This record gives sequence, C-alpha cells and structure tokens, in this order.
Amino acid sequence: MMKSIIIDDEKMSREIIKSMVAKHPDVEVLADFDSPVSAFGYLTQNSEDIDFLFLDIHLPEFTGFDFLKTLTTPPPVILVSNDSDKALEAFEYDNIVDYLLKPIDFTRFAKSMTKMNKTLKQQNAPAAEANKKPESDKLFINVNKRLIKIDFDDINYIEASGDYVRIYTDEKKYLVHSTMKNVESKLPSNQFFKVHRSYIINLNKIIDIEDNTALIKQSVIPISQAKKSELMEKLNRL
Amino acid sequence: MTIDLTYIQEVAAGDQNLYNELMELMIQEMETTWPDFVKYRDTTDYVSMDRVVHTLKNKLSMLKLDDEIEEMENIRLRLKKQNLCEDDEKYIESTVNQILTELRKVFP
Repeated sequence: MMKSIIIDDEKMSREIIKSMVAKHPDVEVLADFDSPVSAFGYLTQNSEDIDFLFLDIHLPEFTGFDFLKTLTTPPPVILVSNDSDKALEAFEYDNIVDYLLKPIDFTRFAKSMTKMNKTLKQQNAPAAEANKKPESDKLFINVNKRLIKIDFDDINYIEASGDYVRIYTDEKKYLVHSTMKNVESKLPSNQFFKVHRSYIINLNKIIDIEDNTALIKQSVIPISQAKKSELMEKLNRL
Repeated sequence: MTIDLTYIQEVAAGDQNLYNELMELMIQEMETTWPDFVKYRDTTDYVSMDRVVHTLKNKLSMLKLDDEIEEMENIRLRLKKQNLCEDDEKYIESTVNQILTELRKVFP
C-alpha cells in the first residue's frame, strides 16, 4: 500500500483527490494540508512513513516547486495543477513522477498511481539487490580524488547529508558524494540496515536500542517507526 | 444554462455525502469569491477583477463545468478592454448570478 499526503490549498481539490484514492486499492492518504507550512512539520516527523506527496503548484505562501526546494530529501511527488504550462519546469525535478491536471480524470489518476508504484519499487530495488551478499568485504570511496579502502567491519554508520553521505568509522568520518540508495546497494544486508531515511547502521556496532533510537559508539541514531519491527527481526534476540 | 454534473457524479460514484460536500463547497467558493469582484469593479481595478474571475474559473474547472468555464473566459476577454461599459457589467453580473442560481437549483 502506497502512503501519501496531500498539500493543496483548495478544499474541493483535496476532497476530489481523497475520493479517487478511496477508489484505488493501492493508495491511502495519511493526512491532507492546505498549506506547505502546515505540512512541513508532519512531513519532517513522519518522513519514513510517507511514500509520496500529492502537491499543488499554486499554494498560498509559495509555489509547490519552492516547497520542494526546502526539503533536504524530498519524497516522490505527483504534481496537481490547473494549468499545464508548469509541466516543463516539473521535468527539472528528479523526484516529480507525474503531473496531474485538474479536473482529474480517474483513468489518468490510476495511470499515475501505476507510475508511482513502479517508481517506488525501483527505489526499493537496491535494498532487495543488497540481499545478495556482495563479494567484497570492503568499500572503496572517492575522497578528494583518492580512492580510500574501508572495511565493512570498520563502518559504524552512514548518514545522509544533502547530495553527500557521511561514513563514520572509529577513527574518521568521510564525506562522499553519493546517495543513501547507492551506498545501501554496496553493503551486505546481513550486516547493514537502513533504520531511517537518513541513516544506515552497522548491526554489529549497536550497543543498545532504546525506544526509537540506537546507540552506536557515542552517537544516538534515530530509528523510524516503520523500520523498527524489521530491525528487531534482524537482531539475534533472546 | 444547465449545469453539467457528469464529472461530480463520476467523482462521487454514488456517495451522496461526497456529492453534497462538493456541491456545497462549489457554491460556498462562488459566493465568497464573487463579492471581491464587485469590490474591485467599484474601484475599476481591472487586474484584481481579472484575478477574481481567474480564481472562479479555476474553481469551476475543478468540477469540470466546461460551459461555465467558457463563460469566465468570455468575462476575462471583456475585462481585457480595461473599460467596462454598462452592458459588460450587466453581462458579467448576470452570468455569475446565473451560474449560482443553477448550482443552487441542483443543490438547494
């Protein structure tokens, strides 16, 4: 089931989208907002639970495009608009999956959901791929034009940082231009687990887990609600 | 002018509550937006008048009320002249009132 939120200042438009979602078996709406400002807090706190956004372009405070720029890791988006002349601009954003014109036609809406489903599956594919144990037990990273070898066992955790990732070891931390998706695909899934949109941890380095956080060395790593049960399954518990 | 409710009926798909809610919202939106037009007309602020009509058009387009959307486009053409004569004013007012009357007829 794909989980979405709606950001649209027009109540009527939100109701129409909700009614179409209700008719579709693969989607649900977690919440709807009449402005990006009101959605921002929700989005930040529940980013792990939200698969994608329905986003209106013309919003009261700023445009949907402006809103996307404020998000460090924007989720996939389906733009909803009255006018088609912004479609070209939408192509500039990698995370905009589709562009729905109002009035929304249900057949077109269903097509859009198929497209989103495919996108989300592709996004999750690297994780599935990682189930196959990589042949190597080390990772080469490009830092200042040098390729540096890091053993998997030396990695404590990896943190997303905009267009970069930070790799933390006992001795050092490395800033590498890459995505979490790419890093995740290079690591063995029996040793590493993405506990949050912005964190991958080395399971062997966990000191303890309390509520929705894991302690690794002296760092407290957040665990998203959605990932917690999966993490628990991976641990060898008594 | 008869309001074509095909799209609203399709969206509601037999859900009478949703149908009522959409109709109610549409009427409310028209009723709350239209007075702004009157206010700007009194000050001959054509840019703001055009913005109001554009807003009305967008609201109507959400429910695919094509004939009414066309009427809004006609109004915008008249506004472009930046000099509304009495006939234009009458036309605009009667068009919007007619749309509201028709909406209220199907959703009293």
